[in-house]
Amino acid sequence: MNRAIKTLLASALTFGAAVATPAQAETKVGFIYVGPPGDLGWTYRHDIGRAAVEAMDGFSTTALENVPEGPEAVEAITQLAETGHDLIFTTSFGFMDATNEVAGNYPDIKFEHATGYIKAHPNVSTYSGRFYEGRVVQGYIAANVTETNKIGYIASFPIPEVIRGINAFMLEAKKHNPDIEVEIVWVFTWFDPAKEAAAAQALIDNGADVIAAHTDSPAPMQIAEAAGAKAFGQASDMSRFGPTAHLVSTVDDWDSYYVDRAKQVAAGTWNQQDSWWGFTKDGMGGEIGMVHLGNYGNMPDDVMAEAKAIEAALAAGDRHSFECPIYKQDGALAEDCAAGEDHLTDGTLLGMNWYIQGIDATIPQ
Amino acid sequence: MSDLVIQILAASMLLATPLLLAAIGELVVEKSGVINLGVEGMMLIGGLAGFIGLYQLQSSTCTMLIGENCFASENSVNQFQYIGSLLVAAIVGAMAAALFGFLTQYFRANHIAAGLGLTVLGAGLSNSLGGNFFGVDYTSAIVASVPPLFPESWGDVPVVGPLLFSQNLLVPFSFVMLAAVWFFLNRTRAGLVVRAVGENHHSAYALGYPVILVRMLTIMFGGAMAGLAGAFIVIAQIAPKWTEGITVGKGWLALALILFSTWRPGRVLLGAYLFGIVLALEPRLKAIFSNMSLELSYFLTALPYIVPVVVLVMISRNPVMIRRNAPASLGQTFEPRS
Repeated sequence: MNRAIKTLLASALTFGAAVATPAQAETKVGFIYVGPPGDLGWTYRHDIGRAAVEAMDGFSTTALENVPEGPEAVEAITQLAETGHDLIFTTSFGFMDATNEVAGNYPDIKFEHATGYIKAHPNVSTYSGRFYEGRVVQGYIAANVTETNKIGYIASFPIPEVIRGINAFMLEAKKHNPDIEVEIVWVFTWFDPAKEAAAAQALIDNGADVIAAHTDSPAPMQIAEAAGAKAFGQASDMSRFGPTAHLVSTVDDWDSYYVDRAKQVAAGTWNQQDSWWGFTKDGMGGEIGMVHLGNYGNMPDDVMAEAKAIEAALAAGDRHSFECPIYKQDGALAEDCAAGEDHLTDGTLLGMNWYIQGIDATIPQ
Repeated sequence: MSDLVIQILAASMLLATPLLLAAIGELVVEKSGVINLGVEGMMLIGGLAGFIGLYQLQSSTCTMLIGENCFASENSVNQFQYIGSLLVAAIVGAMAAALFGFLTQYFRANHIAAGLGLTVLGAGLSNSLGGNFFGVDYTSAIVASVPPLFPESWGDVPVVGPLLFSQNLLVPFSFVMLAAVWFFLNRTRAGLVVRAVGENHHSAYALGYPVILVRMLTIMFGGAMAGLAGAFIVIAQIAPKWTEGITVGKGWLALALILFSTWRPGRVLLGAYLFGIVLALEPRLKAIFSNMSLELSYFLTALPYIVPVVVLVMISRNPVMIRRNAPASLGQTFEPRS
């Protein structure tokens, strides 16, 4: 009897090992989402990136949706770590502490945290997109299509990411149209369609004819469409919400990064990084990056051609989004420029908490 | 200046109407002694149902036909199709409420627990059905905008144009319903029965009134109104678009409005419009005074929620009146004594 059980166990183990061998060859990649892929914005684009990994042979993916930010995320990330995932992407800023905490417990698993800045363990990397490059092109287009010279800008929270976008936008817009003005409304939310719509309507009522938004829903685009104004799409292609209003959308594009990193884990060449990609990976005309512009339209052909030329120049590294000289609101030359740099440094951009000259507003802080 | 006032009033109508619709319904529910905290969930389910209804009902004409395949089409919606979608929203909202009704009235479940359950169910169900309902992903479905009730040129008439002629059907409907509910509760015998059931269900039962039936009916009315409120948010407030969690807490706001307006329809109206006006005012103030501090900016963001509460508490602080208006059996489960 005893012998029979041993034989059974042994054969079960052999069989199990035989089954497990091909499974080990497969690289399992996990994703933590802050929202649902159906938001058609931030999480939606991450899910497209996940699908790109899933489509490769030898890779399988798992995604946990609607994971709350903060300490609750630890549980979800641990769940992925415990179920044999080799690489885990946590796709929101608020997962920063949880990602690092779990990473400390699982040194053999690689962790990637989006838009964060803490890498507490050697198995944690961070990544984000240079979305401000899209704002440069938007600023150029806005300067040329506005008739009232008034831009309405719906801003979420006064953090460097958002302020950088406003500065990039206005820096370029002012170059091409010195009379252009921006009105900024801080809504203190990422997602509240009614509130975003109310803000867009208020800006249009106040004379703005081009709307830029740094929030997640297409509500500002829909309001612009109804009011006969123009607007830019945010995070994903929003052209179908404004057939006559949509100028261009800044689209987040995580596909190539996710595919790259998943392949590196499979090949054993993954290393700790802090990736910040713009239109191209290296900003010098290399491979496709994390940001692209989708569906130009509703503007004169010459404006579109020049906008695309600016996009190409930024992608190729022929120019920078923040080229010196750049003056702050009080007229002082930015420190980087004063120190002889050609453009603002990444460190300055990451901590940006001041407006450039020409923006008549104060950052609420 | 008067332009600004009219713009703010027109914007406030869009923001106040869903609150008003949901609150009118829930007011009747609470007057019958039932507290249904599931307003948010019913709004989401009803809103999605209305959107699906409008998607299915809208007319589509092909604008680019190549061979037998249509490569581009134009959708349009008329008032009848819109009303059809509103009926769908109301019916589905009422069905969701009926679920709550069965649990609380027949199985005598705790109102609070069942209501919270309905909120969670509504959010979850609308998320998953919205993403895939018989193979259609409604988060990316395109539906044409609903035209205003009156010809578009009428919108240029001063004052009444933007405030009345350009508005959505549900805006005047919310006023009519408000008046109807007031009349029903205070001037009809059936309304008296509803109030009696809400005051003391045992006495009402002893007098021979069908307590459970009355409550089932009010609960379903509340659900229908919440469904309409959700449909307004999804279809009419901006432009038709289904997004997960699109109500962002408006159901809870409606519940709070009833409490602070001490169950009086007129004050519900006041509260809803105070919210709408301050919320419409807020981005305009922020755009004009672009140099305000973070504290002030945050305060302005909170103001739409603070002002109605403060005003309503100020005018409704008479304890005798509160006692007189509050349904005495509110939230108590009813078991007939035999």
